[in-house]
Amino acid sequence: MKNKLLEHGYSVAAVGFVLFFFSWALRTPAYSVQYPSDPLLNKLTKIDSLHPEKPLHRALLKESLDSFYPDQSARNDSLIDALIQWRRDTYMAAIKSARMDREWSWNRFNDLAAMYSTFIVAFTIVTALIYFGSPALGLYQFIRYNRVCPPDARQWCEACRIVFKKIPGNRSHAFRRIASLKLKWFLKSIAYAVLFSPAYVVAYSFKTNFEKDSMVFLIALGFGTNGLLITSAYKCFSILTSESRKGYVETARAKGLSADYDHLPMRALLQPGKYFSNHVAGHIYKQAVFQYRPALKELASFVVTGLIIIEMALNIQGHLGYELLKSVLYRNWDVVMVIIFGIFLLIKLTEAAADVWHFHESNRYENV
Amino acid sequence: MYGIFTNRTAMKTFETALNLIQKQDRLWLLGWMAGMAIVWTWDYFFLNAPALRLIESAFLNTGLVSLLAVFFALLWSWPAAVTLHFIESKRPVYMSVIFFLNIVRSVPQILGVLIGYTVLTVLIERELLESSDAKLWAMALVISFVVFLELLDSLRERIRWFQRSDFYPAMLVSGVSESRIIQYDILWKNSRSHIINKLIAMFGTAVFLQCSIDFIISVGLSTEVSSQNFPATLGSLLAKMDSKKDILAIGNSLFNPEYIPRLFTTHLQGITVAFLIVFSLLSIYMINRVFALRKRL
Repeated sequence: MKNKLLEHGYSVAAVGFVLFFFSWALRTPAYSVQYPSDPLLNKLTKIDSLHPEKPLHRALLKESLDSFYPDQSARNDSLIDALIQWRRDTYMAAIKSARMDREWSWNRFNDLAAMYSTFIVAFTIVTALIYFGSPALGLYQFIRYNRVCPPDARQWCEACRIVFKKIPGNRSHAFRRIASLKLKWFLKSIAYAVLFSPAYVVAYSFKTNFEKDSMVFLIALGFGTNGLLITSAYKCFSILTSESRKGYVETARAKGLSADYDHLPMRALLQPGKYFSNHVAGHIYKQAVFQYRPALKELASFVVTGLIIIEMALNIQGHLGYELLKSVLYRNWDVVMVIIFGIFLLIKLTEAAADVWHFHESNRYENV
Repeated sequence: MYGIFTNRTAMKTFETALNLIQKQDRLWLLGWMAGMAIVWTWDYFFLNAPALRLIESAFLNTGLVSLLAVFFALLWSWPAAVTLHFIESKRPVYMSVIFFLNIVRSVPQILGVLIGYTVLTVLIERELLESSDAKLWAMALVISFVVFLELLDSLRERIRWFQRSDFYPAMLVSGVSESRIIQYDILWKNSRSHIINKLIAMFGTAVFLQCSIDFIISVGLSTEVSSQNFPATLGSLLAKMDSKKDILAIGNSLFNPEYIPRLFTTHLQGITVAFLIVFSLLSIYMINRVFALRKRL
């Protein structure tokens, strides 16, 4: 355990060093006006009241130059063009530099710290929701997968046959069955559409403008979209399926535990412990959850990816993802490196916590 | 509506088809293709030709980049898995490589792709990356670097699993070389399904990352270079204002159901792009899932 924690510490130190190095290597010199080497052009650039972009100024300048240098009309024209170009470049460079906001100050630091805190809160909530929600969803999928009852499509066909009197049966019951299946398929389609949609597709379906106070919306999107929940639940389902094929399940069945999934009460899914009385599902679930625990480490990285995508794609101002994108755009490498380091640190802390938790749980089971 | 089921044979055929769809990965693949074909046919009649051409090229570019990314990922992870196996006895080197890989693993995928795209932007600014094909290959390379670890882990897991069984020492004492056991007997003969399953999942991840990063960089990663300088993909197409308005119409139609028919005629560009992304991700997930269940992975 100690080695693992040391490894996390070393990797944080290594990444910190690399980012600091890049931040130093990529630093851009402070902005200063670069004057042209041509002496005449240099003189012209220093006349503050001259604005050659304005037609009147341009015409006056041209006339003045032509009167001072009468036989050099082409040179005078190119001089004015060069002056205009220099003024444009200087103006653009000044704007860029102003946006770079290079100076570190307490205000700047506080802003970043506030964004980071918000990000941590969103990350913690979304991770907890997915981490504790997906085993229940995975177990639901597992129970449904193991049920012997006919699939929905077959039930629908059976109901249709009854409705059209191809086979005997209660027609009103068949009508109700068809209606409920239609409703179920509709809701399932909507759920699948949302679960697999990238967050920005869902978000832009509802609004186009996202403000700083979009925290609840951000958490809802992080939890329900980008395929995070469904992928995590599928991981749990896979573990449950592979566990159900193991020998101890057969032994449990031979010793009298039920393996009938058709009559398994679904309300047990809502209980924290998922206790299934006299059923193998409870034992399979317990083993699966133990194996699922280390998945928290990779989940952390995916949740961060999801949240950053949401913040960047929806341009939520005042959030870490948007600040990162803006800093990349204006080449504020210091800020970029600080944000990346902060995110890396968050993931490493989660990984370390997951390792410690898994270690303690392993010890608990070994002692038993 | 249920008229088609008055014929018993037709009903049975439909029932069989539906059952197959629920169980067979190949049928999900067919369903995916059929969905694409239906959308294309609809767009052919109702969407203007330039927009249709743009969607076609965006879809092909996204598919191509994702496929290339998966191919590159396989190209990196196979030799990496074999090399890691052979250097496992050389502890300092092995531990250093594992330490480095763990660091890469902890970097969120989107950050990795963003850093990669920033490098591509610099290359485009310096006119070192000009042709559209080169940009596509470069985009695939960037994505492959952030997804290949999943496959590498899977390959290493398979090698370890077989190493624990009797099969491995038995082959060794039979005089078969270690490299052949790992590359041919373990990875090729006994792990093909696992690798294919992983590659399908990675293809989905690549599509998702590709769309997301292209959507994000629609605002640009540089004041000189923006998504306009990259080949059109579904993500960049979705980021266009027209498409955003089209997607907003979906939300509008939820509260005004009478607006729904107009979605399929007036707002086709955005709806088509959103559908292509979501339906592709869903289909890839289902193919992956059903394939894993069929092969009992």
